[in-house]
Amino acid sequence: MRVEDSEQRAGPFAIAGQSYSVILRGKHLANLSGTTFAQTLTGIEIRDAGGNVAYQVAFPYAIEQGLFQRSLSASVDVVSGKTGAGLVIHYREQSQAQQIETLVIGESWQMFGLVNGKLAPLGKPTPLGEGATGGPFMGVMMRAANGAVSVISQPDTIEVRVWTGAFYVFVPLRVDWNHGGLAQGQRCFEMMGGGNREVGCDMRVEVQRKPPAEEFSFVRVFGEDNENMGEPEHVVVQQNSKVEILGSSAITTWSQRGELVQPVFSDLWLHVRIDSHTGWIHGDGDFAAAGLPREIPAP
Amino acid sequence: MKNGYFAVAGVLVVGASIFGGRAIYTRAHSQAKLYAAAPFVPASAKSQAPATGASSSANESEKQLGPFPIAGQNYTMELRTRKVQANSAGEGGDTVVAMEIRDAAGAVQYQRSFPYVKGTEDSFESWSVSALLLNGTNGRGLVVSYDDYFEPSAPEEEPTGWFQIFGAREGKLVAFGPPLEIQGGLLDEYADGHTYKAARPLGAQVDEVDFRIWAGHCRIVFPVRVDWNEGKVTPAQECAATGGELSAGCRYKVVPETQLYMNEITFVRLWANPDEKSGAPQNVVVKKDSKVDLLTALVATKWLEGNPAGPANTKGPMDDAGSLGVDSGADLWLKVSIDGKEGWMHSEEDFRALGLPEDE
Repeated sequence: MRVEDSEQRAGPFAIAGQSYSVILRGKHLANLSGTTFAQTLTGIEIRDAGGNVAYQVAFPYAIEQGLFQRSLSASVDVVSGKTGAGLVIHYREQSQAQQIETLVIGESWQMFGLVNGKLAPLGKPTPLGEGATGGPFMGVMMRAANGAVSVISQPDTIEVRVWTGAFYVFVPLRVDWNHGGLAQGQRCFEMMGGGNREVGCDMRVEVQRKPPAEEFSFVRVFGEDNENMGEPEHVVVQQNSKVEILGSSAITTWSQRGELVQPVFSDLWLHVRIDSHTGWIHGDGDFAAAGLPREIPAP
Repeated sequence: MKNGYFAVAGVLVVGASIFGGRAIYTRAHSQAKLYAAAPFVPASAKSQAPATGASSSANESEKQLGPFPIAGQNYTMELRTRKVQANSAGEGGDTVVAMEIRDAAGAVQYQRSFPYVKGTEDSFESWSVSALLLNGTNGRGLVVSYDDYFEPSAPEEEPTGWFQIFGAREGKLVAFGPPLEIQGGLLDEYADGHTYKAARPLGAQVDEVDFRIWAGHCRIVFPVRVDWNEGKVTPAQECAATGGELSAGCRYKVVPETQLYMNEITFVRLWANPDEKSGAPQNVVVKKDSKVDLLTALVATKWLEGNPAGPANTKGPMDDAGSLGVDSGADLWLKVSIDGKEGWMHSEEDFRALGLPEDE
């Protein structure tokens, strides 16, 4: 088995008057194609216009039973807003174990801004309301029983398109490119009994439905994105049912692995309209019944 | 309220419930009251025991039920009633203020009194009393029902009333215990004219008498053991939750529902056993024309003994009563058959999806 090096360049990207290129270094197994695990990303370099390395990182790899144990890939985008611009690298990881057992991919991100004239990774988004200094203004969205009231600050907001396992959601992030600040784009609370309880925030959603092959499938449609608020309706999804996906809701937290960050969702719900029934569904079984089975999306 | 219930309409024909103006009770009661104004008197006894006796005063009247032939003697029930409310036309209903059970010689065997509160057209309380001959394989007695009606009152799937069983002991008619408060009533299938039949004999001196009990989303058949020799009424099966699990005695037959309230195709989750941990439930489609049978209920019930000393009348005329019914907070599991698929369901959302009745 022969392992060969590969290299891919992205850019140049213009950020605050400077130009940067990203070099994606990888390995691939010679004479092997048609499988995800024949190649993997092993490192990234970001260079300025003069060829100087502004940032670099290496990713370990291992070969098991003639294939890479995991396959890492990345894509690079430049994102610009009112307060500046930066680079966003989106990593996508699949492992053999994951491929065999469950259809799961791991996604993570890295964001870079020009801080004090130098390109620097922005790190993990700060939770709103938990007081990072020097970061963006901490705007908090409060959702009261009588509707939503938003308190919105003024930094750039970018959206990260994240695979939840069955569909994409767009997770907002607040970025202060010039000062290296990164924070959650929204955080939602419900006022209950004189206190606040964190609840999911609404997010845009992107889906590709695959209507179930069965004559009938079954979903429990709740009036709100909360299992404790009323009894759900039992809705039978038929092959000719009209299913609309209206949005999603989840509590999003960010975890950090090395220099990469990734969102973690809890209490994930989909807002749907199925024939004449409008409400919220959750759980893999109900997502699948609505035509959104758990799977690995196309890159 | 989604549903009224007609199950005992036939039975209460014989009742001496007096109040004629209860049209907005449950459908069961409004039906019952149509007959209640004409208390039952067996044809053979009419000459000696008129159903509507002479008025004892301008406001009071007496009514008689029976005679009821029990253990070689004839017993009658005497009811004294008063006008409780009058409308603008001067018409109104009556309320029972006293009941007595007498033997053929006129000796009082049992008596009970009820409060009188003068009402208005919109607000009143009335008591009614009715009796049926209770006919078992091993004995014969009376089943007496007491009803308290308020106006205004919230509609209920099943009204709450009191039932008391009487039987003969040592040549006298005696109560086999204090009245039992029940949300439910008697069952159609055992009502035969003016008689309520025991469901089956339990040995040589005991009969099983069945009652209909409201269980939140269905009506269960609660068997009561009537011991004619001991003069006792007890639950026919033990129902105790041990270690969080219900005993086999907590399984009850279910009264078929005349109507389910489904507007469109839906589904319910059926478990193989009455335990959510018994495996993943099967989703079963329910269509408007699906054949739905309610097979068995598993639910904790409670039997509270009353006070055999009789009413103290400190908390009302029935303050000596015990009660039987579904335990508060009980988790009802219902075994159903839907187009031939059988399984157990138990949550509000499934009961609602199936269109089972519920209290408002």
